[in-house]
Amino acid sequence: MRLAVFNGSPRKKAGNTQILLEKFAEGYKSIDSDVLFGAYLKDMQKAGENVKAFKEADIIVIGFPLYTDAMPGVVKYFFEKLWLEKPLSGKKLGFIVQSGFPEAIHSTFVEKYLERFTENLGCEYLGTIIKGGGEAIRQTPEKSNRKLFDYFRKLGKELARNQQFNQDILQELKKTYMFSPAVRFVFRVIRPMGLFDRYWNKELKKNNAFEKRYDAPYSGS
Amino acid sequence: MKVTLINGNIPGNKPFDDFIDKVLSQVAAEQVFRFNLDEMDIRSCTGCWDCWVKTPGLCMHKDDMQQVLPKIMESDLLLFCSPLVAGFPSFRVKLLMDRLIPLVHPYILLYKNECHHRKRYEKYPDLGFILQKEKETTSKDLKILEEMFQRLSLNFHADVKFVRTMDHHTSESIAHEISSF
Repeated sequence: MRLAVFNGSPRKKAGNTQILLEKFAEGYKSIDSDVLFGAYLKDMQKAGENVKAFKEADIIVIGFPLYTDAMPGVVKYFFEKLWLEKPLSGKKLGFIVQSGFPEAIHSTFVEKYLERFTENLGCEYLGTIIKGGGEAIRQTPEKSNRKLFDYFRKLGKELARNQQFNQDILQELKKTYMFSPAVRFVFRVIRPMGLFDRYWNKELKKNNAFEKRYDAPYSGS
Repeated sequence: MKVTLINGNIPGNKPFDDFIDKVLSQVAAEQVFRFNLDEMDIRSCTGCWDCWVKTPGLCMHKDDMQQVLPKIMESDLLLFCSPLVAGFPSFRVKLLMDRLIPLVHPYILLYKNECHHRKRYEKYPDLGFILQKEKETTSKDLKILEEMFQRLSLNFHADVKFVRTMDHHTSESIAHEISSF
C-alpha cells in the first residue's frame, strides 16, 4: 500500500510538523517501504505534481500546523485542487494537526471540517491526530521528546499494518482537552512571574526588539 | 461606522460579485474599504515570527497586506465575503487570515479559560461573513464554519456578528444588518 505524506507547514523542513511527519513515515517504512515523502504544500506551483502523487497513493496523510484555528492558506489551496478531482474514492485520508497551544480544544474545530472535507472528496476518513504544545518540540532536546516520537513511529507502523490510526494513541495525544480549574489557578498565580514569556523575551532581546515589544503600529489609524 | 470588506471571490463567478455590489449599494456606513483579493499580491505567512520578535507588530512581507492591516484596525467591522470552495472560503481569504497575527502578541494568557494570545491593540473589529454555498453545502457544514469563525474571533478578542449566505438571505437584509451594526 503506497503512503503519500504531505507537509502543509509554511515553514516547510524547518518546522515542527516536519519532525512529527518524519517519525510517522519512519514507522510506516519499518513495515512497508512504499512511502512518498518530501512534498511541501507551501510550494503552490507544484500543486499539479502533488495532486498526481495524491491520486497514485492508497493512503494519504496531510500534516499541518494550526493557523488561525484552521489549516494554513497553502493547505487550503491544495484542498481546492483536490476538490476539482473528486470523487477520489478507494483511498484513505488522515491528518496530523499540531498547534502551539497546549490544549487540544483549539484543533477540534478544524477536525470537524477535515472529516466533512474527506467525506465530500469520496475518501475514507482515517482520523485526525491532534498534538498540542507543538512549538516546544524544536526547542527541547531529542531525549525529552522520546515518548512523543515513539507515539508517532507507532502510529505510522500500525497504519502500515492495519490501515488504521491507533485510537488509543490519538486519545492519549489529545488528553489535555482544556486546562482543569486547578491548572488554570496555578497558571494565573505564576503568570506574573513571566515564566511563559521567557522564550519570547529572549528572542526579542536577541533581536534588539525588547523595548519595542508593545508597539502597536496601526493604533493611529 | 467603518467596514473593511475582503472579497475572496474566485475568477468568473459574477453572480457573487453582483451580490456583494448590491449589498454595498444599500449599506449605510461612514466608509467601506474594499479589497478584491484576486487583484492583490498577498503571500503566505512563513511562520518566521518576525512580527512578534523582530519588528513587533509588523510583518516582514512587503506586499499588499501592508495596505489591508491599517484599514482593518480602523474599522468596526471586518467583513469576509467569499464563495465556499471545498467547504471553506477561498484560499486567498485563508492566506489573508494567516497574515493577521502581527495584530496580536506572542504572549499567552488565559481568555475564556483557554490559552490565547495577548492583545496588541485595545479594540479589534468584529467579524461578519457573506458566503455562497456549493452544491455539497449542508446546514451542518455552515454550523461547522460558524464555529471555526468564532474561534478565529476569539483570538482577536472580538465577536462574529453574523454568517450569511447569498442563497438564504437577501441583499437588503444583509445590508440592513451591516448598517445597524
